[in-house]
Amino acid sequence: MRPRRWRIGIEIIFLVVCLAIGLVLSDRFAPRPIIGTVRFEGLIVSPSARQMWNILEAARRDPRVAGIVMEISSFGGDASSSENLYYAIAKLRQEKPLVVVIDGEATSGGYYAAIAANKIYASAAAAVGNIGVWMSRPADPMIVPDVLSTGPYKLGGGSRFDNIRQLEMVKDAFVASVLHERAQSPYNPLRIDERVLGEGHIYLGNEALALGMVDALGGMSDAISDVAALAGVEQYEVRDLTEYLGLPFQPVDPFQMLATLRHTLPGEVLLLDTRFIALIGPEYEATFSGIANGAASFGEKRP
Amino acid sequence: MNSVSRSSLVIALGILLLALPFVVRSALTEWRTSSYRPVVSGQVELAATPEPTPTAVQAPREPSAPVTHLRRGAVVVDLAHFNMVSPSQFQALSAQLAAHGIALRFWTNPTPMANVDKTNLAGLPDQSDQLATQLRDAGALVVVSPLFLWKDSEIAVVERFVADGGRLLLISDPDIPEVPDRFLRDLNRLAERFGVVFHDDYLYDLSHNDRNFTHVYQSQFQDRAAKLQGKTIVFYGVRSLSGPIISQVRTGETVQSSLRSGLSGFTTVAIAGLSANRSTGRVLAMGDFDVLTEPYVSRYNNRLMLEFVADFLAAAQREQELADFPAYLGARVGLTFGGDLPLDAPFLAQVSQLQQLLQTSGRTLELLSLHDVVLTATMAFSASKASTETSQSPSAADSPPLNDLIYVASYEAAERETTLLSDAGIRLTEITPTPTFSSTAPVTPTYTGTIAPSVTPNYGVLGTPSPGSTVASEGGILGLLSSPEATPTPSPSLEERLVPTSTLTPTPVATRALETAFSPPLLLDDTILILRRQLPGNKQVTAVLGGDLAALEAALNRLVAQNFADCITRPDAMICPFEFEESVAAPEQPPSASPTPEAPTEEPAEAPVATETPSVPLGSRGDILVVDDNRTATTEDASEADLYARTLEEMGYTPTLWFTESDGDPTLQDLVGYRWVIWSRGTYRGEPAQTKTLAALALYLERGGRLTISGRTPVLGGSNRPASVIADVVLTDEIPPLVVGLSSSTITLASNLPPAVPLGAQWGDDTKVAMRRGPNSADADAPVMVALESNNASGEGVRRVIILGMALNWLSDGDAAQLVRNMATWMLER
Repeated sequence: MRPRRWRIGIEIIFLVVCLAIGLVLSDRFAPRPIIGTVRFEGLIVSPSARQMWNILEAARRDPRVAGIVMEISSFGGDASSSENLYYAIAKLRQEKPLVVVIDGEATSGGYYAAIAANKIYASAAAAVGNIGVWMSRPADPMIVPDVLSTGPYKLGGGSRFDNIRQLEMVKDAFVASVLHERAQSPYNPLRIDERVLGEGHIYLGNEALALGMVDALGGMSDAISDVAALAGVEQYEVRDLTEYLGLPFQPVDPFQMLATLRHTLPGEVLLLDTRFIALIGPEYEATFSGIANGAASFGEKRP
Repeated sequence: MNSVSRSSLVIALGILLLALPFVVRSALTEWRTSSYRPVVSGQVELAATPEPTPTAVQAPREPSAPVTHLRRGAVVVDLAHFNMVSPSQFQALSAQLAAHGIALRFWTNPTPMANVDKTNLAGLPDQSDQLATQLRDAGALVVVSPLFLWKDSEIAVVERFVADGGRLLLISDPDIPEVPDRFLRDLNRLAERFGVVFHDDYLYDLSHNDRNFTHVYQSQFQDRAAKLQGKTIVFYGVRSLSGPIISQVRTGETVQSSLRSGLSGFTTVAIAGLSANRSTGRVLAMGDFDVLTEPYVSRYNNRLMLEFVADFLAAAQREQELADFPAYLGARVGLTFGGDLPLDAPFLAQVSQLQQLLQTSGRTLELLSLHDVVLTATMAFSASKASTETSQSPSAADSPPLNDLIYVASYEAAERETTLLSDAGIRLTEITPTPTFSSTAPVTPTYTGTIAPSVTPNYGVLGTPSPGSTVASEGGILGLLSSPEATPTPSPSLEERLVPTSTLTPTPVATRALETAFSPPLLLDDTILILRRQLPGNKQVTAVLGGDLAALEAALNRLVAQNFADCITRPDAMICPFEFEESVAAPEQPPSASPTPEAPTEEPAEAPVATETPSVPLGSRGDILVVDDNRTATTEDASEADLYARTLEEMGYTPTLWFTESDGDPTLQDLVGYRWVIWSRGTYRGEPAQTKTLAALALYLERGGRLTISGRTPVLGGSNRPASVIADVVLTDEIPPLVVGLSSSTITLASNLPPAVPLGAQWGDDTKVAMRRGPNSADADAPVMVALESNNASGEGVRRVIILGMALNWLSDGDAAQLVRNMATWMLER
């Protein structure tokens, strides 16, 4: 028995309605790519760098995350943690786009982390740069009572000139990384030489733009659009990665900075913009003075 | 297909269409995120081969020390302003100076850093006296980055030192920061007096450096540093200098300043000095200290820079003047006494101290008989006989020549035996004051009362050569000393001079005086004269002249204490006041002294110190006299004497208190009335005791007296070392009765105590040390309490002395009281 024509009509209408509803529902409920945002602020030391690595690594593995906008507000920190953060961003960038927005300052180790991004935005008044390294002066080799050791540098790690040379090497690596990353920027390649970079200047955002240390002046909205474009998504969600991934980021606050740097070993290399001392106050200044003058208690200029 | 099946198919199809968009969208999302194409940038090549440990090169050969009889003037390093350097950083410089026969000496501040208010950089007490002492025999001074301000008075001492030929090395290093801006200002405060300005910058070179941008190569070497041209010298954190200076070392074109932007070619080492303060060419300023220290001094040719600095410091040629005594003396010094002065115990004690002073500085003092000293017109003097014999022995073959003589004599003897006075334009004369003069000059009555008729005949020849002497007029130098057969003119003995006579008259009598070319006549009895005469053959005589033995004692005391503050000074002459107080001849009863029926009431019984037997029997007035030597006490000083008195009263004694500020110093008459005298200074600053007081104390002991000296500046028994802080004391077992019952074998004192003069370390066999400074104290192990017990010279009495080189009230109340009880038992109850 052949169906009647009206019945066929009703079936077609039903199917069209289902399709329409499906389209409407899919538009509303189907998963869309995520542009994740994350903010790194404070000192770059092992705990904070580790938290940020966890977030970046989770974002890299999450298929919904199409790209990341990383907001940086940091004076830097210890050299190794800063380099690790740089490596984490560089690795993520191999799979997903990451754009950095400098909020306030990305100096020293903070800038080191930023250069791994696909693109760097900064505000005109942001502080950018301060490329360089410092460390407290290590002690000369000495015989420590009640301690037996097997070599002249077992306890100290090297001679004074070893430390001086190695400090210079860490700076050279920093400068080389900046040259390597920024010289290849498709948006605004670097326009200053190695010598000037090594002077450790801090530039304003608009100066940094002119020198090719950042790619554009702008903020989060610009960065999100750029990341989406780099990721090739038009429809996307903007999600805070710490909420989306359930991985909180707890910045190292000034008092933790104080505690952390109090335990800084003599000879530990720091990529740290020392201007932050003024933000913390006299108590920290005294501690900083103690760190910077390794054996000040002996009244000596050089330990 | 039935209708049911068909309907089911349609519904299934509808559901599929319903889900399809969701599925397609989800699939598209995955597809789109994989569309990202990362920029391939590669990796930076950062691998670096570690530098191997460098092969060691031969260390510089150790220099041989020059053969000298006397060590050259030391280089003094200022650490007294809490300079932020450590003595270990001067090791390389010290070794280099040793090659010149010069020692490095650190001038430190005994105050612990923890006790210093670091927020008040001008708050350090004036140390000019200590500095003057340090520089007296020094050749150079090194000042590196002081933390505290130099006082104007201290800077004045340095200016005088440099004007005398001393060298000054000023170093301001930018990597000795601690208190930014402040230390530099402090050094400039000193440096500006010599035309040097250190800039608050540091120099750097980004293109050509020794592993760090602050390790800059020096490029230009000029003037005295020209010999460094072509050598590689690197400074490790250096600042630039400017001012009216002679640049020695400059940086190259690539070196820039952190502060003085836009400039290059900075001076980092310079010779400076101003003609206004006679310092031209005697000041070396450097902007880096590291280059003189290990390990930096061993890099490249930096050791040549060290040699340059050491050569500069070693080239000091001090123009030693009389005030620098004994720095201008050679290694062997002869001492001879002119005339026939009767030498008493206090005088010999002064001579002994003079000998110790010379020995401390590496010199020897040889007593020469007047007959062994032959003064001629050409050779001035030479040691004969014993000295000559000594010099001929093999062991003494290298002994230094005897070129220096200290001649101690009364004016009369000096005029009779030498031409010292006439060469200096001085002659003895008499003046007879007119009534007008006496009415305005109150000194006249004093002197009329001290000249005995027995000495009058001697004055008759004053102003003319005595019969037994011959004046050599050739060359104007020292003439012939008395020949053995010459008969000295009688001179008044001290006893004669001191005994008041009954021939006093209101009629003005002649007064002895020194007639000089540069001043009105100087009253002879009021004047001490110290002369220095340079003689041919690099010989010289230091003449110590006075009116009598007491004056000569005072003169020797001034030499030993180097106390010329109230003297008129010339490079070759020192004219000092001498006041022989009338109280010695006629002491008054102190108000607080208990009057006794035996107290002398007649003047002749109030014999002077130097005369014999006082009329008061020992201990006739009481057991204990506590002398509160409070002449220099301030309102903040607690009285230690009160503590003594209170404890002794608790023991049942009735001590008598004496206050030197109101009562003056007790005389021998006052002292011998008591079995035990406690001379208490406690925490007072103190000042040198008068000779007559020391003599009175010595004679009191000779009579079997018991004496306790107590205080941080003890009137007797202190060493020549500067005062330093005592943090703890350690008891010894050498004399248990004195330390029994004290709370601990190591007693920790309160912090913030003022410094105390260390007691002397050299004591006789009769002396035992009851307490020493503890390990946390400055001058650790120095005696703090010594006790002496011995028979007096006559063998009839036992003298006992306890010297406590700190304030008793620095101990806890319990320990202080126990110590006083122990002293009392040891002194009186055995």
